[in-house]
Amino acid sequence: MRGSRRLTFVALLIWACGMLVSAVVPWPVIEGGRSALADLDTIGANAKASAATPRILLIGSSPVVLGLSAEEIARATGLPTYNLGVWTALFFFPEYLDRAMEFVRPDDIVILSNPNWLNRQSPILGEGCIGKFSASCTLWRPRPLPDLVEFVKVLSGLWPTDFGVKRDPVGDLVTVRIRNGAETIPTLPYVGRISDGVVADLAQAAARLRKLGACPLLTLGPIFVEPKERDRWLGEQSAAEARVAELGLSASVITDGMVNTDRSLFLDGFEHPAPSERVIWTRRVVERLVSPTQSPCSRSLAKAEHSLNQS
Amino acid sequence: MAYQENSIEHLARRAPRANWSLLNAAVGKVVLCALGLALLSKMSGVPYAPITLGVSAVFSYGVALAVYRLDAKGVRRVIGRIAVPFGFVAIVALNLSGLVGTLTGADSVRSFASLSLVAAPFYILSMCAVIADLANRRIEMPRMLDYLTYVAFPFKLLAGPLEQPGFIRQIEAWRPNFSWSRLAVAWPWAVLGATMKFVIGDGLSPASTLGATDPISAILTAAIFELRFYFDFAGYSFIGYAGALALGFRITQNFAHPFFAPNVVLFWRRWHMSLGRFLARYLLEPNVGMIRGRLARMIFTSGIFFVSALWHGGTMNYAFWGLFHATCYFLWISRLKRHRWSGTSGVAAMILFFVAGRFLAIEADPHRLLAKLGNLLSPAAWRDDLMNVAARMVEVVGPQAPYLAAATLFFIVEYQSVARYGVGRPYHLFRRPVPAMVLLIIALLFGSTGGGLLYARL
Repeated sequence: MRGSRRLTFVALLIWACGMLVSAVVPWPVIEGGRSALADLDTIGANAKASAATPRILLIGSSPVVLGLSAEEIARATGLPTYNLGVWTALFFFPEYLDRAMEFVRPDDIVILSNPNWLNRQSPILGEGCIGKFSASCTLWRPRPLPDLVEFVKVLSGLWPTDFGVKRDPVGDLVTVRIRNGAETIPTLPYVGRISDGVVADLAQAAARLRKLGACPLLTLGPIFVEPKERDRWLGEQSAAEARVAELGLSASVITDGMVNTDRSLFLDGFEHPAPSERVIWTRRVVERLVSPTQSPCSRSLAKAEHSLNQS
Repeated sequence: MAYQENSIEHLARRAPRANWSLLNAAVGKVVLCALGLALLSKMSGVPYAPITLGVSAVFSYGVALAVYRLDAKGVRRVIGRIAVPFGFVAIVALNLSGLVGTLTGADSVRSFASLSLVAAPFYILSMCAVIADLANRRIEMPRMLDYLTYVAFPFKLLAGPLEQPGFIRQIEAWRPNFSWSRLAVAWPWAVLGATMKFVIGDGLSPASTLGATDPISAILTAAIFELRFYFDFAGYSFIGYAGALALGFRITQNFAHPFFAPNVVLFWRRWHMSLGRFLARYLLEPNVGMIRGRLARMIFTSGIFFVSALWHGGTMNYAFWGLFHATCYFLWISRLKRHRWSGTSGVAAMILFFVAGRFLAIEADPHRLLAKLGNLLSPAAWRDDLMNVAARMVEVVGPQAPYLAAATLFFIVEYQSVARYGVGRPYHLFRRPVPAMVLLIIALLFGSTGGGLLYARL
């Protein structure tokens, strides 16, 4: 009996140590997050090297990588545009945003789309866990100790960099390897009222960007939903628009076009736009940006035009 | 007199302790209920899912109480007989109306139901079984807290073991206390379950090739799905079993080496055992005696598989799946069991049985299911596949290769366990001190968390 008690104690101790190690392994190294941040650094360095002011910076996760074209936006506005969106950023969005903010200069136009604004029911509980030691971070990280192996890889400089996504120097997508090209892809489930929380987050993000002297343009990415749930989602969209208007953010937030029931507009997941949707979403952003009456960033655009005329 | 005084004194001394013990138990049960509801909320991602369950439980408790108080024996007997079948019908009706989805449905039939009650079929059956047992006077009317603990019991993990109402007796007698010996028995089960689910099961994810209709891809996908179901479902059942055991409850293990079963009948005694026992108790035993004739009884027994299949979901694939299992079961009990089967042919037949069953169960899209079945019979489709067999294998098996290798290794050890300790001591080799410690380290190093519970799906 004493032997089995000792063994049980040792097992519990090993388990506790395992959880502890998983808690102190730096979060960015896991789940390829390190590689995503490396992508951000590379494209961000290119943006930093550009002396032109202002610039347009696209910030977000894989939907932004797949769904917005820096080249098209640059062509339409005449401003240098960089797609700083990175794959898997949704898993650690606050940390990613902090890093991306380092590349923002006053008068820049920042187009920001956080996939977690809509995908709130998904178990992205690791969010906000970098450098944080808490019970919830320890328990809910997507992978506990296995990433020790990955951690060793990072220490040795051999972290994986291939997500199957190839990008050009401004961050635009060149090729992507589809992981789940099945005919049927999951839709984003409707889980009840989310608009209040979404709008509060939007307002917070806008305030943060304005504090840096940048002009925010926030956009809710396209999502693929069940046809029978379309009306509920549209109800959420209307509710969000009303709240956005109340807060005086109407010009800075693009909410329309987020709800889609057409499978062909999506690549391999409910928030991964296909090339056809990329054209649509990019056009919607450009239209808002260059609109003489609605653009929230007319000051930045005017300044850009002025400096262009001078040069 | 002296005895009486002593006894009163003794009782007076014991009374506060007894009260404290009862309070302790009540608090423990409230904590268990809260854990069960929190788990439901977490798994469903719907904050009001626990409210739905709570309201359903209170409503069913009211019905149970009314049934218990019924004096008319005849009416009670009828209720006792139809309560569980009614539950089955209600689940299928809810499923067909889209209010609850299939248990293990593919994405194409995902209906994000307004009831938002993950694993609703498990809860509904539990509630109906209590009503049936009360009507038949198999159990006494439980207290509300004991009943709620039974319904929301967290170690059932929503869709794990389907405990029968007799389990309420364990809940009534339960007093929370700590025991090293229970913990010593429980933790090897927990690491076995964690290894099966988080190291192997979660890694097997053939959903991306579910859309492939060519014969080889479809068969391989079905085979991998079968493994996924085993490792995931058995894994979390064992984790639940270990958790319950650590706290002093004994729930059903749910799996006992099903892939080493020599025939269909034994397979179903070892796979999802709690459901098998449930069906036997509430559908088979009360009704089979009323059926005259051996053949009719065999048909009735086999037909229960069809009911069980529809409980998973009222879709065409489950109907086919139920018919397939009913047919296999009937053929075995009526004819095949009389023949002697060589080891090789028996193993081959069982593998075919596993894969064919899963082939039907996983494909919820009726058009694609028919296309797959058509291609199985099409020489042209086979010719095309055989010319590209390597590419097909790489496409389907490639991404799963490390996990399939781990599964193979697991089966080798499992075979050793069966050979050495028999099915009566399930997975005993894994639970020996050294292997259990090795599994713990493997689970910590290579396990992933998350991934959901396979059966706890809308």
